[in-house]
Amino acid sequence: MPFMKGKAPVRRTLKYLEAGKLVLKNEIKVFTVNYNVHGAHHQGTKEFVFWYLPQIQYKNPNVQVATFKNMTPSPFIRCFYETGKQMLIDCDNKSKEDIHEHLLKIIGKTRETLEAEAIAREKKDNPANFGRGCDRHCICEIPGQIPCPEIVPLPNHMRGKFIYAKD
Amino acid sequence: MALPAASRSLLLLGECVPCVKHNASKFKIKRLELDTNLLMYFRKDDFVYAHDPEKKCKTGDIVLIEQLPQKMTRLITHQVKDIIYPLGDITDPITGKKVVAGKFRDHIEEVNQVYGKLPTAFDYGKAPERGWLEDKKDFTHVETYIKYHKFKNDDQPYAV
Repeated sequence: MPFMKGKAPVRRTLKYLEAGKLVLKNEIKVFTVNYNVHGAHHQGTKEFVFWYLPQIQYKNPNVQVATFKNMTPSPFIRCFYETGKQMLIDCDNKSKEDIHEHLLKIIGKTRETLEAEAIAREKKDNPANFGRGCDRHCICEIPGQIPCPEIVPLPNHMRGKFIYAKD
Repeated sequence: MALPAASRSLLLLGECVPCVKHNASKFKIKRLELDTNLLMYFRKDDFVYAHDPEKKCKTGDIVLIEQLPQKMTRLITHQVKDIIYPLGDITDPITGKKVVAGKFRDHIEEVNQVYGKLPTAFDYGKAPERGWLEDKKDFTHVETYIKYHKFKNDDQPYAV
């Protein structure tokens, strides 16, 4: 870890940031956390901000992530949606893992959505890909490959009916 | 990692800062920017002008602003949607009660009653709305500066 400065510099490693699991849904534009510095029931939220906030901001660069300290007696997380709705999550006496799990279930994208998005991104990235969802559907459409057997029949040494014929 | 411009975001949460424009209020948007060498997030402030014809927002209020479908002027790109936390009068969203920096107002009242309340104590219920001392003792609605020269015809009411 270069520049091992500050408390828990592991939070500043690329590996840690990439390992963030919470990817917020597309409609969420602002994510705020309210907590107090002192108070035992705020400790969980405070630790959540300390450990998970860099990961959340890294995985959601277009979401405004803000923290407010010492404003209200109870800790909470508030998300603002594009549609105007708000999501209020009470974090009183909850540990950071509880809060994280709850957020993953409520406002995080599911693993299936994330995997589908990753595949979609890969397909769009690489123009050489072919198959479902790409420009070319089959390998026969790619220049330099064998033409479609529908149009030009394969040579006999490549056709199963000649190779396995009992004569 | 460079942040996209705040003026292009659909929804933002900002703190109201003093503004001289008539129909608009200026907002400070606190966002985090990643320093690629240290891999650390640092606060970066952007200023956005939002359309607010009635001047509902006072300095220090936390306000939700949304992007206008079309820019009103070169600088006014957003409009005020909702005041989330007005300064001095914050309502706890979970309980719905009024709070004062980490304590409930009714809790403070009860404690004061037990200890004995002074007649000159500040009463939240009877206090007038924020802004009744503007231009007399409250100068948060403008940017003040330290007086550097006495001008002949200029009274300089906002020079400290």
